[in-house]
Amino acid sequence: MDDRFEQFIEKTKSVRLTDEEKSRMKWALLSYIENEPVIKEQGVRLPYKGSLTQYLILRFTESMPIILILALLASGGTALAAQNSLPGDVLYPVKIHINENVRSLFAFSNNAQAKLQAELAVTRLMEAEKLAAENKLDATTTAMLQANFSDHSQLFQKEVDSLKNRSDIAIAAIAASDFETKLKAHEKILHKLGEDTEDIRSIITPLITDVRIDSSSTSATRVELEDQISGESHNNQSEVKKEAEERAQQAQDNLNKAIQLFNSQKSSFDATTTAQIQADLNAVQIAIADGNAQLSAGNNGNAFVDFARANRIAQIVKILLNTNANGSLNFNLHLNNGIRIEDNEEGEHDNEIYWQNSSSTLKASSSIIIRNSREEHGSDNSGIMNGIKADTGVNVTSSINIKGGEERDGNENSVPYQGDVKLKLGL
Amino acid sequence: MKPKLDPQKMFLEAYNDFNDAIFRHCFFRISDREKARELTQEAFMRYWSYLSQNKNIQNIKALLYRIANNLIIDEYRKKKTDSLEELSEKGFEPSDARLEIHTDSIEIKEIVVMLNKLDNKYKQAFVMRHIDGLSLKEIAEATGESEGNISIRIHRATKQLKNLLNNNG
Repeated sequence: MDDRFEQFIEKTKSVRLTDEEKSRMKWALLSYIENEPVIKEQGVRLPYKGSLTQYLILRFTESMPIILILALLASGGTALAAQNSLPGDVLYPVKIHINENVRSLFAFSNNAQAKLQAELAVTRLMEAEKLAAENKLDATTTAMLQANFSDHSQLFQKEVDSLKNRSDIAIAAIAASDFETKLKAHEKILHKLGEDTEDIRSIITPLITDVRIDSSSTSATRVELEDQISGESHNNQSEVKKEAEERAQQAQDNLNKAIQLFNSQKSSFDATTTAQIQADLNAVQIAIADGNAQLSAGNNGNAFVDFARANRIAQIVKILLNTNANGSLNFNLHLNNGIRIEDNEEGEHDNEIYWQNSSSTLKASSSIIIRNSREEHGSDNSGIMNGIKADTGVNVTSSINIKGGEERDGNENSVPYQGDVKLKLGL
Repeated sequence: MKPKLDPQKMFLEAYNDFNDAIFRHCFFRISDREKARELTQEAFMRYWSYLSQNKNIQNIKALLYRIANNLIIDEYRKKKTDSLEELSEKGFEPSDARLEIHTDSIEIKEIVVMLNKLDNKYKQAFVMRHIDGLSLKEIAEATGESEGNISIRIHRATKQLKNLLNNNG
């Protein structure tokens, strides 16, 4: 009788981390503690880099991945500055070879990896867009961005497949839906950029094709998964209902934001565009209403599908309005000082602020004056903020004064940007 | 005078000594391999917070298990559905029978299923005693419960489990 018990306990010992998992975790932890230095008795934090690096080189170099040696040696400021770099910039290799790989170490689950791969794929597209907007995009760079985009897109697909195999159907559907939405939005933006400039068009077309292909296949995956969800008659109903309700909330939030953006930009749109956007917003509202009806009827799967559709449309409208790709605003500028500005919504990275325009010349780089709204600090933290570590939890709400203007005139235009800005470390 | 130990060296030694143990503990408590990995990493990150503040650490093992235990409690709170909240308000301590199990091994899955039939607190005590191999004192330190309570729970859990094993043929 006790034998079985002994065997039972014995078997539990087989649960352990694989060598690879241990190794990756160790290096992730070392990377972490590198940035969290020891506090001396007086309460002063001292950087420990020297001795840690020495120690590591002495004990562990044979097995340390070269990427992490570089990551450990690179200072926090370098990594941060690299985050906004574009192909051609000195720090761009740091961004793609170090920062992005380190992030991958912290993405444990299939879902986290899927989200990361999707984000990295989309980042390549945004880099292409930024370069194209400045007329700096050449064929070689496009080819490189295309290849990297494809790699991440394929890795994304692999993660979604894993999620499917683990029966995380709802999560897989959401991941696919979000990626599909972003691809569709960026396809439109890239297309628009190609329309505006003749030279850009031929360069950018192969990239647009790739995006379209991946967007179609992701869409097909998504449809297949949603069919499964709406078809499920009795399994996991409470989970599906929960996912459906979350999607509903997301769709409503995105719709509200889209409406806000639309109202503030309405005057700059022509009649056709206005009608188009209005129609899309109506479609969102109808889809949400449909979803609610399905929920009331207890058809959780169908509700999920409806809310997912509502969310997709709302997201696309939101992304496009944010980018405002119809070219009617007057400022052509980009933010170029190592700070990443994001919408204060988590996970949304497509709301980079830039406008394109055909007539205005690009004026040097801009400075951002951000006032720290936390009163404890007492003083104004105005000035350019570099080297901010991690998510400090500070919501900086103030105006960003973007200075720029036509060089010829010699005058400066200031554009106030109002809104919440959350500063995040790229790592 | 004995020189103070280098925090990084202490950290790495603790990691090498306890990474499997903490991982195993987390896994049997929350039944999800990936989540267990995440919590293990988080536990060591928090352990570093202690080290880096030069706090005096008497028992590294107990501290690590205490950190892990707290993380697991947080994880449970996240997973609670309304109905479970209601139940625990009424004083009913749920078991993990409804927890989804994420692991690749069928054998381990069976073990987890059986363990999850135990009452939550019993399972905690059982895992710490028989799987983690902690002493009563260490378990008390890690959970903040009295040795007496823990002893009772271990006893009952072991009995329950042996019954389950025998009934399964």
